[in-house]
Amino acid sequence: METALPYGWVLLSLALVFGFYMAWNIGANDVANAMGTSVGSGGLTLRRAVIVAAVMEFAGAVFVGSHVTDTVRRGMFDATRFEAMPLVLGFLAALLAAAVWLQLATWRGWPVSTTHSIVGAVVGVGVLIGGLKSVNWGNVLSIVFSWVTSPLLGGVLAFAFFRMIQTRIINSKHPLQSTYRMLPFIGFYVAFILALVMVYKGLKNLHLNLNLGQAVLVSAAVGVVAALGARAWGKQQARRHEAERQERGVELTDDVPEGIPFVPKERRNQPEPTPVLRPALAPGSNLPTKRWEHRRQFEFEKVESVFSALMIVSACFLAFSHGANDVANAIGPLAAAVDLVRTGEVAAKAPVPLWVLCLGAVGIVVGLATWGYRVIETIGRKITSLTPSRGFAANLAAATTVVLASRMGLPVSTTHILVGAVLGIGLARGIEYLNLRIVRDIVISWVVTIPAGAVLAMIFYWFLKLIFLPAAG
Amino acid sequence: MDAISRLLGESPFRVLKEHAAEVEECVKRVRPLFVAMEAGDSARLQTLAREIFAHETAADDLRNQLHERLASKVLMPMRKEDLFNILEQQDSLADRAEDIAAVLTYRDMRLPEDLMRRVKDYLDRILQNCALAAGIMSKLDLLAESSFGGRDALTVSKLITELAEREDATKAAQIELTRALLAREDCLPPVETMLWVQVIDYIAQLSAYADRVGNGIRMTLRMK
Repeated sequence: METALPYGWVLLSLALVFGFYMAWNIGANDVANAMGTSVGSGGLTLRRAVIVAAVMEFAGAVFVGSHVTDTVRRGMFDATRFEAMPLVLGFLAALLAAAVWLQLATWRGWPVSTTHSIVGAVVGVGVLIGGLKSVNWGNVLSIVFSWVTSPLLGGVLAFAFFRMIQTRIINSKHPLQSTYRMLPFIGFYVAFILALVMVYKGLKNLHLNLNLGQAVLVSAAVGVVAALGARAWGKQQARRHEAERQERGVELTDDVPEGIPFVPKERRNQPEPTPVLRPALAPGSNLPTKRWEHRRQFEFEKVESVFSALMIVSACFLAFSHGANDVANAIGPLAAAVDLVRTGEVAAKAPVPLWVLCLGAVGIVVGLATWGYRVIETIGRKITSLTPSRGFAANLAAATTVVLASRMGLPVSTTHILVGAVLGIGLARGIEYLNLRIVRDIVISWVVTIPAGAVLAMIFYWFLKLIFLPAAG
Repeated sequence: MDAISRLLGESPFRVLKEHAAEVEECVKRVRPLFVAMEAGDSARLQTLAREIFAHETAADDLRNQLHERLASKVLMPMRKEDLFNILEQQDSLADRAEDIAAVLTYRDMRLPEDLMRRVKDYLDRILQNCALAAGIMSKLDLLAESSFGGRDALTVSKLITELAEREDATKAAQIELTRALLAREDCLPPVETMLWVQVIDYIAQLSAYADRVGNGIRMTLRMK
């Protein structure tokens, strides 16, 4: 590769190292959010969770990651107002600053967003180098706006999804049947959105560039296939559950619970028939089971087991979305630096090179495999109050929000969106008691991260300038 | 990162169920206490009493554990106040069983046969109420799944109403039994008579706490 700048190779190497380090950090800390709930509810073993997450993060980064990467690499500045060399140093400083801030936050256990860190660092150092006028404030403000609206959207979607599950499945007379009926719609939805996000004017690397109408058609077709597959799987599960139901002797017709006294037949003719309580049903007993609790418990157990599988699907979706959005945090500045070193200017129209996306994706996977699995395990152990149905709704809402934001090129915080989704479920009464302390913590970390990233970036920039641009003051 | 696990946490139901199991161990030994005492088997009586004390202590430990672990958690399936209220009432059930065991070991308190039979019948009625409360507690998982609302909440609330009505009815039975006991006070040592009045009152309290457990659960239900 030819370099247009002095110290070209050194700068390139630094960029690659910093970028990879940042990606590693993302894999080590952020991915756990997508997978933690699945491991916690027992749907996935830790090992499978890591493998699944690795595959999905990689796919998300490579297939949809270019949009947000574009924004981070050139969407926030008017690049013509900069000279190449300081800009390269600026991006390097931003990368290093964000990674260091993340490392510090991880060590101290603060809930810090990778996205906020890098955006704060990039904007901060850009203002330092090029002045306030060089920043594309329109874009930056819409990014900040999305940081407020995306958790809200996640919350609203999660609320809606869980309300649907609650009213149509849990409160229905036959929750299990209702679940089977819903499966095709869920399959269609997930496949449709994933496909749409990938094919609409996307996948340029594979020369597959569709307009809206074509994209919708293709996605709908994919959705229908997924719906059929979901229905088939549902039927197979239904057969298994039916066999289990018969084996355990659960009857699906009774609505009278134990505890309501009844007068057994033998006593009905006595002068003063004293009612008795039905004895509690012992698990595994062979008593003919006209027990309401047993029936409801059986159905809920099976419903949650179906949702366990669905939650894995939603976790995959979330990992995909996360890869699509967060790879940019590591690779955006790296891609910009590569452009600058190679050509002396930030490429105006060229798409993000595939190898850069892959490098970021690999970094995330390595971070996940070497450290991230521990965080997943910790989260999984601590969260046992999130049943699969709730977890599914939260994951699906968060994944939808993140993937839509990614497609629009907006870097958002997956963590905050997931928190918004969980709160949304709390509002839908999936979880009862709401304490706003964590929201306060998040807002604080939000407010602190951006200036912290900016200040750190400015400090590192100053150091880099000393090394690489000694002539300038 | 840590945000999610700060938000959610352990399900409190597991410990609640363990606590309920310990309380059940206490309550189910109450009837054998009376049978042993009636048969004059003081060794068995002592053993049973010791076991009840042990299980009551275990229940207390679980209760303290739950208080500690849930102090900092944020989102839970039910409100903290409701959860702790139910826990307290359930714990008092174990306390009462312990008190009954203690009194029965003070001295040999055998009653005339017909009185003893009436006491045991009364006890059975009370224990039915306790069983009903335990049955209601066992529905907690179901209630949590349906967010304490909907058709499951409706059915459980019927059970709770049933329990409340039964508890009401046992008050009269307690007065009647105490009267019957006092009517025979000339045949009994005076101190023992008072001890028996105390025991009957404790038995009545078992049912009262069972009712309060039911009531505690009723307060968590949301029905439109």
